[in-house]
Amino acid sequence: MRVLIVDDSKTMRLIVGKILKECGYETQEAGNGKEALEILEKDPSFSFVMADWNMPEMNGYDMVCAIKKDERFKNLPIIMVTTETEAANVQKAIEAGASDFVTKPFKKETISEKINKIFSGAAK
Amino acid sequence: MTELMQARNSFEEIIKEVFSSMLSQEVSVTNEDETPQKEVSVTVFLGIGGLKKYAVIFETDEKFACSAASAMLGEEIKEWSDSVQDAIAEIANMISGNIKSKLPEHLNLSLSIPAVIKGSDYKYMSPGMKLAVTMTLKAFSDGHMTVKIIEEV
Repeated sequence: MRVLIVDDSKTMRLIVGKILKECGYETQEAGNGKEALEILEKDPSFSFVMADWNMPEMNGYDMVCAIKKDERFKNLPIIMVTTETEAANVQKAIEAGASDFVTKPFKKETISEKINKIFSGAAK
Repeated sequence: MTELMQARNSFEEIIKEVFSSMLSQEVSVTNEDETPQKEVSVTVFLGIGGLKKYAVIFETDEKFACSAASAMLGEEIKEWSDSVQDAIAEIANMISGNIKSKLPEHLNLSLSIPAVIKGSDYKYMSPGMKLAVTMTLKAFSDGHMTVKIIEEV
C-alpha cells in the first residue's frame, strides 16, 4: 500500500515517512497541496494521503477540497496532520472530505491508530 | 493581567509536550530573568493574525538548533544545514500552532509560515505590539531557547 505525504516541512515528511515505513507502507512526498495534486493526477493509485494544514502555495484545506472535487478520489482517505486543533477548523476540513486528524505533536502510536481506524471503517 | 499572561502555564505545558513527544527530550521552562543572558544566533518568527495580532518569537543558538534537529531526526547533526533550519522551524510551528489554539476562537486567528533568521547582528521592531510572555526552556544539558509572545496593544 502506498501513501502520499504532503508537508512543506522536510523534517515532518521524514518523521511521518519513517513511521509509515515501519508500519509497512511505501511512501511518496509532496511539498504542498499543488504538488500533491500533480502527483495524484499522474498516479491515482495511493491508498491514502497524510497532509499538513499550514503550507505555502496551496494549504491542506484547499487541497482536500480540490481532491474531493475529483470523482476518482471520492473514497480516498485523507488524514490531516496539523497543529490546528480548533473545533471550527477541524469541522471545516471534515466537511470538505478529510477522514481524520492527527494533532502535532503526536506519538507514533497515534498515527497507526488513525490508519487502523480508517481501514476498519470507523472513520469517514 | 492579559489573557496571554493567564495562559502562561498552558504554554509551558505545550513546550514540554512538543519536546517530549517529538524529540524525546524533557525540558524545564523558567522565566527569562532567572536565566543568564545567552548568545542568540537563530531566531524563528511566526505571526498569528485575525481580529487581534500576535507573534511568537523563538531565540536560540546554532548548537541548540543542531541538538534539536538531531533529536527530532534521530541522527547526529553537528553543523547548521537546511535540515537544521527546517527542523527548528517545525518545532516553532508546532509550539505556535498549539499556542494559537489556546487563544480565543472568536478572534478568527491564522498562523503564518515560520521565518527563520540566522545571525545576531540585527534588531526587530513590531510597531503597536508589546511583549506579553517570555519563557526560557533548557534542554540538551546547557542548551537554551527563549520563547517570546508579543501582542497587539
